[in-house]
Parts: sequence; C-alpha cells; structure tokens
Amino acid sequence: MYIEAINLSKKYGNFYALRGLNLRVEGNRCVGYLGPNGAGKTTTLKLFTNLLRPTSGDAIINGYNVKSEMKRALEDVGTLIETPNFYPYLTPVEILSMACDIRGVKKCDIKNVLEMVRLYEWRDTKVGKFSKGMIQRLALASALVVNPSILILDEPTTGMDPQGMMEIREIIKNLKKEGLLIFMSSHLLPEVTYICDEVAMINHGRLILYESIEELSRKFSSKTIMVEFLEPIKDVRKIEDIENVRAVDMVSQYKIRISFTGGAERQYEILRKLINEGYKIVSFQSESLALEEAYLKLVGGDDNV
Amino acid sequence: MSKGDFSQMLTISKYQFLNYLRSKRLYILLLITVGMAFTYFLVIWYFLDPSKMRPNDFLGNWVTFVPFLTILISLFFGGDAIASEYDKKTGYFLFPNPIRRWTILWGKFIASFLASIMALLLFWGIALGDTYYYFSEITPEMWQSLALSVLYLLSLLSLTFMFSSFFKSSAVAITIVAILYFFVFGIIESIGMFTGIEPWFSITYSSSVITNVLKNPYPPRMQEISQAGIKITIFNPPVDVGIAIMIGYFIISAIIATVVITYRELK
Repeated sequence: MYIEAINLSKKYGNFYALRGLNLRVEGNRCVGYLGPNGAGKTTTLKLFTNLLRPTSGDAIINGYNVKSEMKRALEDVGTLIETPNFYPYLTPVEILSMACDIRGVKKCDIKNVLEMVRLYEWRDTKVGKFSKGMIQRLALASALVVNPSILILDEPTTGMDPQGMMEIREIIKNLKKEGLLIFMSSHLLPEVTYICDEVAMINHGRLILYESIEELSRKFSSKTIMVEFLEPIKDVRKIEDIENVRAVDMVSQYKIRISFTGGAERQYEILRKLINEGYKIVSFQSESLALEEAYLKLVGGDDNV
Repeated sequence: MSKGDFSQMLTISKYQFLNYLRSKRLYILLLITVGMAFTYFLVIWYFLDPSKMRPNDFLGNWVTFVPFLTILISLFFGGDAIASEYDKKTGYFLFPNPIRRWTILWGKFIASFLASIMALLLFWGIALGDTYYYFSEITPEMWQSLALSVLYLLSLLSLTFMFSSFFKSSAVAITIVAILYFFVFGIIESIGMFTGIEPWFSITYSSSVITNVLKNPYPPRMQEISQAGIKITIFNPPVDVGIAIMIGYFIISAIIATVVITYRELK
C-alpha cells in the first residue's frame, strides 16, 4: 500500500497552491504532513481524495490514479478532510451504515468503532444536535468503519478538547500498530512527534523535507538541556568545566540550563559526568522538540504553523 | 471491492430520503399543502355549485393551484439539494468515497422526487377525493392531468437541481430559483402576450397543459384579444408541446447538472 504524488501541482489563477510535489509514502507507518497555513497541506489531501482536480501531475493510490481511476484508487482509503458535516436528521449508526453501504462493506464494526470514538451512547441521537468535537469523532468513525488500509487525515484533532485530542491520538497510534498507512496533516508539532514515524514538510506549495522523526531528532535536536536537581546548586563553575559544556544559566536554585556542543552522545556524557560528580538529578531533558527546531529552521519567517 | 454505481445511487437515495422524512421542511410543506387544500375546499364549498358543473370543470378549480404548489415543492426539495453539499460541508463526507459524483446527484434527485411526490399526491388525493364525493367518478382527463403534473414536477426539480449545482450557498441557490420561477418566467410569458411570440422556451408556460387538459373543448393554441386598442395574444400549448417542453427541460437540466457536479471542486 502506498500513496504517491508525481509532479503534483494545483494552480488557482496565477497562484500555485501546490507546485510539483513529489512524495511517496509507503507501508505500515504514520507520516505527519506539516507546513504553515496556506502551504498546500489541505490542497494535497484534497487532491488525493478527489475533492480537487490537479492542474498537472498525478495523485496515485496503490497504483491507481485518483483522477482517472477514482473508484479503484479510493476503495481502500478512509478519509477525514476538514470537519465534514452529516445529514442532520440521521443518527451515528445510520451515518456509519451509509458509509458501509456506499462501499459494500459489512456493518459489523459499527458498534466497535462508535465505542472507540466514544459515541456509542449517542448512537441513536440525531447528528444535528452534536457539538463540533462530536462531529469530528463521528467523521473519524466514518473513516474507520470501512476498514481501510490507508487513512488520510486532515488535522484530525481539530475542535476537540484536550482529553478528546489525547483519545484520538491514542486511537491513531493503535491503528498504526494494526498495520495501516496513515498520512495526516497537523499544525500541532508535539502531536506529530507523538504519533508519527516520519514527517513531510511543505512550504509555498513545495516539499522541503521528508524524513523519519528519528533522523530528524539526530539532525535537529536541541543543543540546550534543562537539568533539575534535588538539592540547591551552590557553584555552577564545576559544571561549566565539564567537557563540551559551553555555558550554564541558573534558572533557579534547583534548575540550570546547559548549552553544549555536539550531538546526543555528548549530551549523554554530560549527564553521566554530572551523576559521577554526585549531583542528585531529578530531571534532564532537551528544552525544545527536534521537530520544532527543524520546523523553525526550514520554515522560519513564516508566521503560522 | 467497490459497489456498482446503481447500487450506490440507491444507497444515497435511501439515506437522503430518510433524512427528508424526519426533516421539518417536509412537515412544513405538508402543512402548507393541507392548508391550501383546506382553503380551496372552503372556497369551492361556498362559491361553487357542483350540481351545475361537469366533473372535469370542478376538478379544474382545484388544479389551478397545482403549478404553484409544484414550484414550491421543487424549491423545498431541490433548491439547496446540491448547494448544501458544498455550503454545509456534507460533501466532505460523501465526495471522498469511491463513488462517482453523478451517482450522488441522481441518488439525491430520486430522494427529492420521492419526498416531493408525497406533497403533490397529498394535494391530488384531496382534490380527487372531493371531486369523487360530488360526482362519484374520476375521468381519464383527471388521470392525464395528474400524470402531467408529475412530469412537470420532474422537469422543475431537474431545473432546480441544475441551479443548485451552480451555487455554493444554499440560500443564494434557493433565492435565485424562487425569483426565476415566480417572476422571470412570468415576465417572459407577459412579454410573449404583448409581442405575439409564443413562450415555448418557458417551463412555466408548459404547466398550463395541466389545467387545459380538463377543458372541453381544449383551448386554441393562439387567441388574439383586442381591448382599448391593445392587442394581447393568449397562448395555450397543445398537450404534446407541453410534454415536449417539460421533457426538454428535464433532459437538458439533468445533463448540465451532471456535468457541473462531476467537474466541480470542493475547495
């Protein structure tokens, strides 16, 4: 299973919403699709789901062109694009039955899926009475109930409260374990770091990065670490003398910020030496996410994520 | 394996019709229909003497309301049928499925037609019931008139769907179609009366066959009346011309709506 963009472009008048995108995402993994507002994320997802027609290039799913072989291309794909709406006088059970009937799949998973997205107790309530968060859960349920092997999700936690966001993230993480290919856009970097294996970054309609989160962490991990101690720190000079430490800032009596040179191995060495020196360390962590660092470096200057 | 197009179309019809059945708009329309029927019932009861009339003429009084009711019905169930998929974002649920757009259009059309025919048949039921009460007979012309009104509903609904597929806003779609049906086509027909040009291109012109078919003799195609120095031409389409106009509108509108929905993007 794979999705592939081949020189995929979408133009509105003189404006390129997407310009010559080449990207292939394959196998059981979750790929986060990042970029500032207007970068072309939703445009890409809409091209893959037949909501838009490409100006040039091809959107391919499992070998089928979405434009010319739409039914075959989308038959194994579950989608959640923007926040869809549903016929207001139908219930969640009827909406999911409709999704199953359209594809000719069995309806046996409706109960499980409604339980998964925590809408089972609302199963017989008309959708017109639902909040935005509940609609979003139902939209995810409609993408899952058809048992797809590929999921295309556009900011799946939009409109949800923090608990709801966490639940949806867990659901997506578990789906990954079940062998699905998940391609999801998000503007929440911690969310992508938490759920995804790989990340594709786009800006001004062009792909600027496609890498695994692991590789990204290696390349862009923060050179600053925050260390918290059990007892107050009286003299930071001993710490400054540790090899590869560039500077030490006292944040409080118990907390310091260490700037260092080198990568993860040197970070490990600094931690080991602090412990050997007898410091009682409570916590030790990079100050910012590697993904955030990468994002700011590559997209920097553009305001919104 | 994806389902066939026809089967998918019926699925869309089934759930859309279910949605209509529970919607307030169906009950409002049925209420309007019953209200109008009741008003007609009272007017006929007070002002007409059925014993001095022929059954077809008696029913003809009821049927004068049918073209207006049909327009109202098509606005209720066609005005926003396609526009709402874009405006209310239900298209984000339906369109990314492995389903051709035309099956969505026609699935929705069937559902709208089924909901519409309920209101139309309710009115016809009352009208025929009242006629049968006084005359104990239903003439072949009455069935012909009923069949023509169903054909008129089909063609109006098709035209309304076409306009609905053009617009992104449901409110704009309904307003424009209402202006078109209630004013523009009326003005066109008035121009025809003064210029002597038969408005065969107006869908509302064709609706006069629904009442004319009950008249004996059938009114002439063209009647010139001069009054106070003004010459007015009254046109009455023959039944075959009326049917041809309705079928023409149905086919052309359906083709245009299908093409528009197939290529229209959900931006």
